[in-house]
Amino acid sequence: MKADRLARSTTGWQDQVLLFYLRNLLNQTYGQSEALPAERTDSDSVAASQPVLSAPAALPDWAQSEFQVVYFRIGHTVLAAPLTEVRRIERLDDSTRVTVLPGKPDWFQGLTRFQGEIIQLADTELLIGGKRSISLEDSHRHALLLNEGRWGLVCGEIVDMVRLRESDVRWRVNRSRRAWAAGTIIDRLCVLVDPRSLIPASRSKNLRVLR
Amino acid sequence: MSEALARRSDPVNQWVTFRLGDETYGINVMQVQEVLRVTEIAPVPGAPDYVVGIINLRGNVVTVIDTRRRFALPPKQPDEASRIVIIEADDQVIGILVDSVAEVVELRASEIESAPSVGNEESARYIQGVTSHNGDLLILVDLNQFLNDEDKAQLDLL
Repeated sequence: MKADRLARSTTGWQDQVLLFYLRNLLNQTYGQSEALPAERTDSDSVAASQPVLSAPAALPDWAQSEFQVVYFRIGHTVLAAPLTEVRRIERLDDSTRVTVLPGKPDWFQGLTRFQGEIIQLADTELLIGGKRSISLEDSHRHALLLNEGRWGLVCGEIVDMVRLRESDVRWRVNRSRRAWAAGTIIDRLCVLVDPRSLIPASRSKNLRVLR
Repeated sequence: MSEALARRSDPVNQWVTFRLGDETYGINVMQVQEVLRVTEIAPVPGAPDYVVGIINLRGNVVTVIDTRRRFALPPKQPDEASRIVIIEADDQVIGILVDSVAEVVELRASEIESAPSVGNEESARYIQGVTSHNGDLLILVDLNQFLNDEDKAQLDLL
């Protein structure tokens, strides 16, 4: 709306080009892929009705109210994951025996046991498309044990745990690419990972007892 | 009575365990015919890369598979501990070369967990399951999946 008014009041072709660019940028950034938290006003009914702005359906179910996140390091990057999806954090050290299975993809580090339970270890860094920087010998390795699928996301140092509100995150609506990125924690500019999407359904089948 | 019922619903199977690299694998004892020390293995020119060669087993020619290569593990020269396990899978008798043979263990069906369903590579299909044994994990191999139809056709041509 403001962009249109400004367009009418300007005459120079540079301004027109600049406005065209800015309008496109606004549409691309907030209207299609990356949704900002809605700041609704009564006069802006169009924006308020747009499903892309803070559409509840787009939020993961763990993000409906206040929630805690754990910040963890992967190489030089810090990511966050919701604690509601993490049931335990285990430290991986020299005594952690990892059984490597043949024929598995690189991101599948192997199997290990925590408290008598067999856990599948996934290299978080490789899953998000990076290169492995955490070696199997890294003494700061941890595994975030997920609620579902008996998976452990291997990461580096555990940085912090913080309580957030829904509005603290810029949620992504279009997650056709990088589906694992639920959004960005605004004050830390840190990607909030959706663990369930990080290990898609095809990978997340539970270990089950054979009969 | 109830014990018999439990045995039927949760049968016990015996597994021969062997070592390859750092891991321990198990194969169903019913498919193991015998375990041999490594003697002379005659190479077969033009054979697939996973074939070590052939041996003469009491007048029968048996193909020996390089299990390390099959499992995408680094190669290792056979040594004193190496063994050839003669197995029967899908009516085909083959030998599998392993680093060593460990023991025979009994496992209840309820103790075996399915293999992680990740990986599309060929070698992933014959991991039948995993189980905890003596504080370690034992990888159970489905010998009927060890060779696919193409492999069998290639071995028939040797």
